[in-house]
Amino acid sequence: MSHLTFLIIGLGSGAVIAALGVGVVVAHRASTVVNFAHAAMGMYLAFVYYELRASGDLVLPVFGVPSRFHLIDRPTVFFSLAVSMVLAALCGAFVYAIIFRPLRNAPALGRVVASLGLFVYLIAIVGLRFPTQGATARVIESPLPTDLVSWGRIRVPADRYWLALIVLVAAAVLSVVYKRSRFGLATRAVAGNERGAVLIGISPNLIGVLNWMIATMLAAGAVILAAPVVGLDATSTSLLIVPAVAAALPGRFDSLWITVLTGLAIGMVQSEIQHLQGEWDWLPDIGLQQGVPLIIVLVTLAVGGEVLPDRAATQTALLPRAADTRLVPPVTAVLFIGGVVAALTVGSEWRTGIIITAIATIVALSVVVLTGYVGQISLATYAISGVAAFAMVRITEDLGLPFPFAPALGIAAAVLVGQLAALPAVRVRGMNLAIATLTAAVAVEELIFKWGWFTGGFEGARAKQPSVFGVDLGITAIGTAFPRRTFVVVALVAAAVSLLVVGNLRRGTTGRRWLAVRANERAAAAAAIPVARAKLSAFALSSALAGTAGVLLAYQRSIVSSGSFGVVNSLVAVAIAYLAGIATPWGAVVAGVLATGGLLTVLLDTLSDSASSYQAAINGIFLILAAVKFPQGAMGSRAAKVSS
Amino acid sequence: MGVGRPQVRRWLGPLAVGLSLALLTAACSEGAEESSGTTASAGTETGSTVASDTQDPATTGTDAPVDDGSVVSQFAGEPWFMGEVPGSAVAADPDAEPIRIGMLNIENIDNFSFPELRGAVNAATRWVNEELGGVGGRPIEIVPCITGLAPEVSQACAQEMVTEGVVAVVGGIDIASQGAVPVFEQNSLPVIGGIPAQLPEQQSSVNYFFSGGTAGAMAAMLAHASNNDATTVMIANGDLPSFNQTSEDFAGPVAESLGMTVEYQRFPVLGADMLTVLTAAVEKDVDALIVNAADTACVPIMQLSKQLELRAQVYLVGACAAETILDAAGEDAVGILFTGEGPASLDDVEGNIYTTVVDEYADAPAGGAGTVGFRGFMNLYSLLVELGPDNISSESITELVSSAVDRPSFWGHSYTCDGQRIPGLPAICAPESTLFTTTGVPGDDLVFLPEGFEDTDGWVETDDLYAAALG
Repeated sequence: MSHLTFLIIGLGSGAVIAALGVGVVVAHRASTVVNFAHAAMGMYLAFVYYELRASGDLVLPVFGVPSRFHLIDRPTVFFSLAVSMVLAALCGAFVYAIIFRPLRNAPALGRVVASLGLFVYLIAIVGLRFPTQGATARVIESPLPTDLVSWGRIRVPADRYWLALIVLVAAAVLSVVYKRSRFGLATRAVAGNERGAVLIGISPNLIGVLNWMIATMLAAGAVILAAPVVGLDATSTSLLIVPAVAAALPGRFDSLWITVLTGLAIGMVQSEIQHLQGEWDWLPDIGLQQGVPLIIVLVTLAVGGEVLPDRAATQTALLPRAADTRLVPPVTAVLFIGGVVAALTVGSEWRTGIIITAIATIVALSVVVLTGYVGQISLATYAISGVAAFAMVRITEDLGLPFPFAPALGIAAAVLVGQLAALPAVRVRGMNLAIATLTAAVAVEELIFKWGWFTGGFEGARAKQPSVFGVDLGITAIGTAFPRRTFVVVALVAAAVSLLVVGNLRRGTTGRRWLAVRANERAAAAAAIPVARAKLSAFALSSALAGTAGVLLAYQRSIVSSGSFGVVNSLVAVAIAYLAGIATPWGAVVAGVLATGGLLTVLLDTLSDSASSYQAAINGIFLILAAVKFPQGAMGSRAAKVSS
Repeated sequence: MGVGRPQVRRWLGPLAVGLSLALLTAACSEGAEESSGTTASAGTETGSTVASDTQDPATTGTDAPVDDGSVVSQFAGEPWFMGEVPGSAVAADPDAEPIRIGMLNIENIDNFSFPELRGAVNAATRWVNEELGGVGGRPIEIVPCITGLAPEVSQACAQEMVTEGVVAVVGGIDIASQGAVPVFEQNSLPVIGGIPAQLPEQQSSVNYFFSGGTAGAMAAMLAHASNNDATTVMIANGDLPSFNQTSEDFAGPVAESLGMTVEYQRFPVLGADMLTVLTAAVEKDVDALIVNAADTACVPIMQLSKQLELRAQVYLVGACAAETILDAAGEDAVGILFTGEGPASLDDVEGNIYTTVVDEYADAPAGGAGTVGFRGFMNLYSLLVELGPDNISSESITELVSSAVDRPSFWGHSYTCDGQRIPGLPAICAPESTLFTTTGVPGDDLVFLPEGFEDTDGWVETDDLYAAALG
């Protein structure tokens, strides 16, 4: 009986997953975009609802306009919901019209990056617009009835049933609308054959706007109604996109009913797993719940292959131009010498900025190799980094191996895991690969990075500081001697070597093969280029770079936990690398400067106490602009201009 | 069959009209209820105001009171933990070199967001600078750093405190403080006050808490449950190693020494559905349920305990007794018992000072657990005043606080930092706790529960419980 109770308890979280999944499907039908910011949009609108309910203030998400308007004293639930839904519809229309309509025919990378930019922006704007969260600032009251419903010994509050019922009714209504109404038929026509739909007088733009309005209202409604059950937090709520996408995948981002049933099942199974973890001692106390979406994604991709074929529309935008790298050695030498001179002269804050810039440059180089040169969209960069970092700590502690052997083996472990992550890439690509790697990154974070033996769990893993022949290469120092200048040089050396390796490979046969695969896999295969081997080699180098960054992060932070290698870090890494120029090593350097905590952050902190707090939000805006207007990224466009 | 633009536009019209009508018909407010004025204060006849032998002309004195509208003028000459409240307000010298004090606090994490501690510390700082003359004329400047659920973030914050040159850190709540502790220890930077969350900070040589943390709170809850004939208790906590260890290695032995059997229940630290915890308590049919949760988890626990008709007495930490939380819970909060670290009477001078200062100077939430932040800051302030403006350093602060024996605490039990109060937790200087409840009526004061602990003025001497349980 208790199993049934906990399965029913899971209806609450299952309903929000299902509703978000339906929204993803609706938006995808109209625009071929898998909007990774879909749950983040719902998250922002839920914050708006609860703030409106508490204070009567309407909080807007746009820079440059007043952030807050007082609408009414003590608004009712209905009024607050109505306003939030209107705002949701407007946000959906705005986001589609400004961001995703121009990208309708863009390559998968541009669409992924634009949604990541929106994701980053929304999380940042919630941090800025709702600076004091917590129950003392904002209590979340359920808009739904919460009376107890008893069925024998099963006693569960009514809101769980209501949530499931609302999702089922919404799915039923949408099914009827899409099957029976002219609007629905038009949507299906656009989804099936956009050019054909245009020829018979359907406006894909208008259909897109309306569907995005519906999708965003679904996201808002789902998060608002479910927040009292599953909580409301900028990051973890935004990451509900992972189970939502997993729910949408078996129905090939088309079937509303399969999405709803899969979403409900995910929530119910996760609840039962939590129950079983308390009942069965042998079941590990790690995030098994987060493994459920990964299993669904892997099984679906294994069975169905390319679940998300691009619709019959013309792709008008080209991939970013891969810049020539002949100037890499001399410019790297200049940058390295400049960095060393700075390390010897500047203060503590700037030294920290240099270290973080150097590490972020290596992370961005990892993205440049995989995505910029080979066209594989991986959203698991930091998961790979984490494997190297934690493996290094374990190797140091359990095997007693010193520097540099421990970090070298840690990087080797990262390469090994990177090769495993590459296996799906042989079969799927583009958006499918992005979904697979995103889900895998979340699962790695929950299943492996919270495994106490490997990572120290919440306590974290302490990295023994590096030294060679008695020379301390570590960062630790007392007072303002932190960070030690020696470690700044270590980080600069690692970044410089990484730049030289990537620049050299880009110029050689390997680089040319990568670019051929990126341009057209079938054409590359026809030219006798071993496509699978080219992809695996790119994954290997990318993983080695991510691993190098991981071990440096471990040394830099002295203590690392899963928080250092969370999936949001991976999303931001891809986004910033794209913004800076994803197909050129110099883009990686710029990405390092733009990274949070890097040189730009230090500069902004120097200029103003609060300037750096806007950095993430501004990065998000530039990212969206870059994806829409400058598909080659800042440095990519510059490189193209120089070459021509 | 195609739907052209005109047809869709026709469809759009009714939609827009419908939405507009929905807005218009909905544009009504709920009944204009006045916001409640519940204070996080327990109505009590007991007080712990102990006249201090710490005297400083800058902040205490017997000058003739001047009613200048300031907070101090309202309490001029009243006895408080630093002697007597000064007669009139004196501002710190804005040109004097500020004394930089760091603060680490976790905010913006669902279930773990405590802006009220920083709000209270900021309010206290403004008050000290604007009315108490700072420290001998030197203003105090707070250097905050917001932590999260990762130890490396705490470590980075601690490192920032070091490079910023603060002389001490006033405690907030840092759930991942195991990252910060080594940095503070390496740099001999004292951390004064706050609510302990992790075992490393409670075992650290540079931390000094005027709160028993979850160990102190749970012992007080268990003592109350035992007094009320409970024989089975469920202890539920977020699934973090330190929380688990505190429950099993500290509270567990106390429960067993009081003759109770214990069930342990864990829940995810993020996005937890409290229904699973409450359902487990119903199924196990325990006599008492202790839930170590705060923030957004509080209201659901109160509501679900009523909806599930839970037989067990429910105990929550004092942070769940914040005004906004009790307002939201309403009648569902009735019968829930909370722990606190202060006698918290409105009749108490320090309680009144806290309330008045928060009203006057806080620009952010400062209730509930904010009292702990306020207490920590004021106790640090008293140490700074005793040292004098020219003798303030990390070393001098550490030396003074570590020698404290029965030193008066602001709106709390006197503290002794001999490292012996709870075996194995040397940083706990004042583990005593009180218990209180609510009437459920907005505006009513909290109700202090001294029954069973009258001999100690309502304080539960949790150090005695731990001495008996852990030897």
